[in-house]
Amino acid sequence: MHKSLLSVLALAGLAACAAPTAPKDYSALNAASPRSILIVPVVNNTTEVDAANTFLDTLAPPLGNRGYYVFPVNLVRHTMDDSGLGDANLVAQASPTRVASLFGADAVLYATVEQWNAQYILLSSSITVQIHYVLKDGKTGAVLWDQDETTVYVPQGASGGNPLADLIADAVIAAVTRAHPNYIPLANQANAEAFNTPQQGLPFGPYDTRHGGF
Amino acid sequence: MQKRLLCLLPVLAVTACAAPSQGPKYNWGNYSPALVAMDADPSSAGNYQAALAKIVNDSNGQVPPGIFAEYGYMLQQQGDTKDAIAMYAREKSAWPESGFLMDKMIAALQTPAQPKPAA
Repeated sequence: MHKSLLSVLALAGLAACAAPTAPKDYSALNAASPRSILIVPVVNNTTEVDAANTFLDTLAPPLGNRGYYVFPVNLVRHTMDDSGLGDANLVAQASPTRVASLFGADAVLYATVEQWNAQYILLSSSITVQIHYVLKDGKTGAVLWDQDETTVYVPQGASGGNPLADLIADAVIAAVTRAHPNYIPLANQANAEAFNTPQQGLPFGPYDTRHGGF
Repeated sequence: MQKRLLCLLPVLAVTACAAPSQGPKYNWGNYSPALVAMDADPSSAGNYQAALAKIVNDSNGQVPPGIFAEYGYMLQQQGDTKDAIAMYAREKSAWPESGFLMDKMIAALQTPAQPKPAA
């Protein structure tokens, strides 16, 4: 009995962290070894109007915490406006080396929100977001890293351990989410999955003692 | 023996799974929520600026990358050229990677293109 329980536990533990995909090829990124990342305005291919700014405004902390110098996002956005690069689609189509040279950046991070599907059902809600991240070399324009991230976000409330109270709380959260959406936790979740997953995300940058590792 | 091995497996699996989480590297304070709020409603710019000031004043030498410059930019928007330049200089000194951009920002403030007519 004990033994079988332990077996199940062991399997559950292993299944929980099974790596779904092969490790990425980091040779280009390691060769370029960027110290600084310029985050450019996010392209929005969805009808969710807040998606682009929510992602743009949440990208600096995870990249900075990863050990890279991250250029000041708001200053950069307004400076780009003044340089005729006010629109995210224009920036995405411009030469990465030109964009990088305006700011002295080693690498440029592009993000595109490809899908945004909100499902509101009676007692809870979930949002499925697909976002594509590409890091390009500021000197050559070559792709150093990219990630197609799909994340399912479920607004969480603190559970009090009372099923009825939880049901009511979930219903309230669903209603609140519909009226005043706060998408920052969603963006944080997608960014963390994209950047921090070992062998898939971005290796630690020069300001982390684990530089080059995960 | 077998039982002991099985005992260890879940522990190993969980250990292997756990990201080497060492907590957030910097204190970003209310940076992202305040920036999102300002984008949605420009009248909350003061709130965003206050969030930046708090990060600059609270972090003992561990101000996150870009924050001195973001704060300087808000000061510049208000015409506080002297303090804006000081913040750009602190960004450059803390983060050499920002040197090229900070030099440009400072130079632009030190050489006004057109003298504005007195109001």
